[in-house]
Amino acid sequence: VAKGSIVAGFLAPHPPHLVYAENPPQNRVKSQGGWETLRWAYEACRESVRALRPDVILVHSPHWTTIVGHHFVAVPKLKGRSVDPIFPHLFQYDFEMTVDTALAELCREEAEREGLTAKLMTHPGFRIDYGTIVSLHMLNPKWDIPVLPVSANNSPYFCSLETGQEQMVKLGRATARAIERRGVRAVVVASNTLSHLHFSEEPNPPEDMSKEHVQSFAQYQWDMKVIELMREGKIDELIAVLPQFINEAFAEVRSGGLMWMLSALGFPRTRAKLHGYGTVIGTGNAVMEWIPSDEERQ
Amino acid sequence: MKGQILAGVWVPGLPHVLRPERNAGWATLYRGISGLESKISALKPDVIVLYSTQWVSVLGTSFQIQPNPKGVHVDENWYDLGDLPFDFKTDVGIGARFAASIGERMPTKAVNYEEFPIDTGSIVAMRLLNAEAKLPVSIVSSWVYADAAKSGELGRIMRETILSSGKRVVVAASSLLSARYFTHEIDPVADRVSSLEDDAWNRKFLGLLESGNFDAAASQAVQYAKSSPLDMQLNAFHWLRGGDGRRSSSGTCDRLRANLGNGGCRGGILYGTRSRKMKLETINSPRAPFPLGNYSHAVAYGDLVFISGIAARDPKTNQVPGLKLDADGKKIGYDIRAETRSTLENIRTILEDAGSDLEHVIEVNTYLLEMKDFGAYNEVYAEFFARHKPARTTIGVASLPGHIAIEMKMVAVRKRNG
Repeated sequence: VAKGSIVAGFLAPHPPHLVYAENPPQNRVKSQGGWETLRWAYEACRESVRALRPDVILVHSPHWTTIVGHHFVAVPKLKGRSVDPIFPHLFQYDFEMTVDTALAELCREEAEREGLTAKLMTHPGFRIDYGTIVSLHMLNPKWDIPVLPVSANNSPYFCSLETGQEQMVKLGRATARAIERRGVRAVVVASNTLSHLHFSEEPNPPEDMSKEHVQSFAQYQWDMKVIELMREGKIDELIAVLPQFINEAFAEVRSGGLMWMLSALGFPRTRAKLHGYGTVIGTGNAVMEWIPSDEERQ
Repeated sequence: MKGQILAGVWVPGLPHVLRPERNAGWATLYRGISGLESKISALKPDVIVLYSTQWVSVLGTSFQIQPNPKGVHVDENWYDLGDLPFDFKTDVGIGARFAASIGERMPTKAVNYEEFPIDTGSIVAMRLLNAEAKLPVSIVSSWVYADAAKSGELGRIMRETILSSGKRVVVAASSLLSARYFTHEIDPVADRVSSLEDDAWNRKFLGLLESGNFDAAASQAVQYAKSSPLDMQLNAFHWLRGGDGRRSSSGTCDRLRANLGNGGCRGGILYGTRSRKMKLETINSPRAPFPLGNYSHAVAYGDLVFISGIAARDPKTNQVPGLKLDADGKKIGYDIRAETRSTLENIRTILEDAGSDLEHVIEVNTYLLEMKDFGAYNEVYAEFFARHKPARTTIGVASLPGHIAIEMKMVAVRKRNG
């Protein structure tokens, strides 16, 4: 088996509003559009994903929260309707995914080698979280590329942020090794919003963009700061400022997806490409892409 | 008719409780909670209103109004513990009333979507409290931006809505206490409390609930939250406290240990108590002889029940057992034993309708027309109070109304847990 590699990393936030606004055939709820800047950003990502021809897309979602360890879906086919428990009026989505279960097993092995608790989720009736589905749909609405959903261990919340980040660095390394062993071209996806304080009320209709704006100026300033660091490839500075960003902007990256992805990519100095920034009920969302250099891929 | 909150219940909403064979602590919880179902059933509620910390909402508080949620849920964490089938009826009317009344004061949504993902906490609570889904339920979400004040306000508004609805309601919170988990796999058999500090706080908090001191529990919750990671900041408690409007009264709190190693975080408490406000409540039992004067059979204040002076009368015939009158209506004979028995039976009926019984009587005052009847009266009395012997005073009096030879009044406490 040829040595596998990570061909790209994406920061791919998962507001269900984006699927709702797009009106894909899979979603039962229809809209009048909205959140175009983010959706156009995802259009660029879709083109990039097609061009990269990955064998598998791995996604780390904060809406599959696990308490004991890091879990990997290991059911070959998952199919069903996902109704978002938070925004059920926007997202009632029929999904069908093929899972790279062999990669799941390798990820578990490598995670355990890092000293992490890891587990394969093998229950065929498992309810995939909407965060995973939204990010995957926005990157590949045809669902013709196998996937591997990864859970978000809850340690950054009830242990400490430091503990959580340490675990994600290890999990990222383990994921990269597993991809190498599997011999596949992989895309790793952090399904995370940046600043994450919402409005508690939404306009009617929800896609009324005249009401959409960032929840606070402070959140906006933080989002721009971390986006700029990522655009400039200043990963060390980004890592240094991340705890303050997480605490002050209530950033969803606390759940670990971004740190996992960066670790899997080997903390690349490559400049990240910003495909777009936009807010969704006040939260800050950036769609970004990292293409590691040949050197970094080695 | 005015609605009532009949009881408040607190249960841990983790599927471990449904697998009692795997751990002694889980089994203890299972047994305890299972016992609550029959108690709730005996209260004959119209609906269970359930607040679940595992149904997290962002756009304010959500209320489930899907008429018949059903399906099979697989928990995202504990899928190894098996499927969680569910099929229950929603009280759509009261859910819509909640959404309307809350919506005037804070963000809210009524939720009615097929295949909506019912949360584990709600399913576990319903499986334990309402296994055959005989009772409709109204599920309330846990708003992620709610603090203690907002949760209490939510409870207070919902209480007002319940009272105006005319419904008999049991309120239930599906929540953990401290939420510090083991972060590695453990053998379920070896599951235990993981943090002694959390355990101490949990016990302290439970002790305050047990003594009925909700106000102190609320004030301690601030420090509690600083010391232990709490399930949704203990908002379920603040909702329950606001929900039943109690300030101080006795309650029952069964402490149950060995909760998946997290000091009650995955286990917790069962809390069941009648939830009545501390206000005067008049009680007239339709099964007892009607009052002959301008009085009630009893008046309750909190958990104390004060029984009026009650005498012998058959509730069906309205006659005094054993009483003999001549043609002019003059008393020519009586049976103190029959009168004593009838008096005590009437009091027992009134106590039952007040939520008490003879076993919960604190004090008895007996008035005898003839002190020579003391022996016979005392013998019959002993049949009713064979084991429990309340404080008692027996007085001879110059006269009693009508033709009765004995009158008794009592003070009792209401039974805990209904």
